[in-house]
Amino acid sequence: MPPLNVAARAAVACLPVLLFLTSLVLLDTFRLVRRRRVAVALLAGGVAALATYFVNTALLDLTGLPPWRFAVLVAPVVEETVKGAYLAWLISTRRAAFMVDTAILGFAVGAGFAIVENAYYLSQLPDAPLLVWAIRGLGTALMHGGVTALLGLMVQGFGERRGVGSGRPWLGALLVAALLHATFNRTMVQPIVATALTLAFLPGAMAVAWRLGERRLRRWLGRGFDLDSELLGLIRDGQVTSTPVGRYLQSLRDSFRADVVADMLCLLRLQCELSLRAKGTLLLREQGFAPARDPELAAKLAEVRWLEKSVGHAGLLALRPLARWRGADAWQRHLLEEQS
Amino acid sequence: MFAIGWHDNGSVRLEGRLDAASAPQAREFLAEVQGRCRLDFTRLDYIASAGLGILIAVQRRLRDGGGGIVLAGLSPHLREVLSLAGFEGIFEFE
Repeated sequence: MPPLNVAARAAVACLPVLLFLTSLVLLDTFRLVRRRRVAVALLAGGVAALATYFVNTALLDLTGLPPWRFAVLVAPVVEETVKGAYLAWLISTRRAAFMVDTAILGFAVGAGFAIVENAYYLSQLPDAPLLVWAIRGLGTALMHGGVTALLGLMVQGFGERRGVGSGRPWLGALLVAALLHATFNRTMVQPIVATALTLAFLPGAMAVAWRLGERRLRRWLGRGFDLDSELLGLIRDGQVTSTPVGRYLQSLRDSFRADVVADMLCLLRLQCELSLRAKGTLLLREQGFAPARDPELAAKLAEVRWLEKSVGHAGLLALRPLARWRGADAWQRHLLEEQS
Repeated sequence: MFAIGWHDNGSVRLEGRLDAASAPQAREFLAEVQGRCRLDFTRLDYIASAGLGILIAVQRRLRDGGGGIVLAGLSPHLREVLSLAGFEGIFEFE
């Protein structure tokens, strides 16, 4: 097969998913996701494809199922679980904290998976007609990217109430993702139908989830910034003692030494300052600005770590009702560490 | 209450609270501003992130045209918040 024909097939099979991924990255108004992290997610998707190849091959032998039944009942669960593993790490370590960045990174993992999978099929079926690759490009590849993105969106979307650390959002999301994947594989007996369904369903579902994600992000950003600004003002003007926050801190004196409570107040103030810095960064990025360099940022982050050690685990638990550093707020630490 | 308008000395004066409710009024007024513009915050009691978002968007537009905003009369607290948020290099302060 002349190289040009192979290149045409590879392009048709891989370009749609890369173009869709690029559009998601460009839609990232607040530039939550750095290009390097998208590239790593693509790579992780490729590794997941290699891993599932061996797992699926072994399970196919083990189960003795006919290939088409295996493709509907087993492969989707295996592939979505393995694809979801890197996403789970990003979410649990708060490197992905919003629906928007999780959707981009989830789609990138799925895209990397699809590219490696298509490369494998291209090596096995070099003479297959161009239509086959168009279906693999516009159908299978977009399905892989879209389903993994939806997996992440569901975990972030449902996880916000239960706390993303809890397993329940994952099980439900994996089930739905595997179901979508299996439905696609099931309809692949009529590939054009399967591709048409993917093109009809995927962009719409992603658009709805994306808009919800942006609205939640703006709400977190706006409310968070105003709360931090207000609390900082109270601490600064020494008025905090007359507020619920101050009374709560006063009540901690019954359980903690005075110097620890003092460290708690310092920690609270520093968290407000750093939180303003992180949210200010997003407000600026939305308009294409970069924040002014803060030579003290590294020292502030070091001081937060020192204060956290000083107040100890029990102190951090006691501060939890006031703590700004949970869920999306913990994502701020990664953002600031990248700036320091 | 929030009010925004031209002052005799050629700057734009903001009064009261610039929050999510009054943001559309400020956005509409500042959409007409061109070139270099001095914003007088002496009588502004409070500004929320919604208001800051508008200032940054206006600054983007004016800067792209060679102009910019000068923020004057900021309260010490608001000045500190803008500095902490990393806006030092973005706006001119007076």
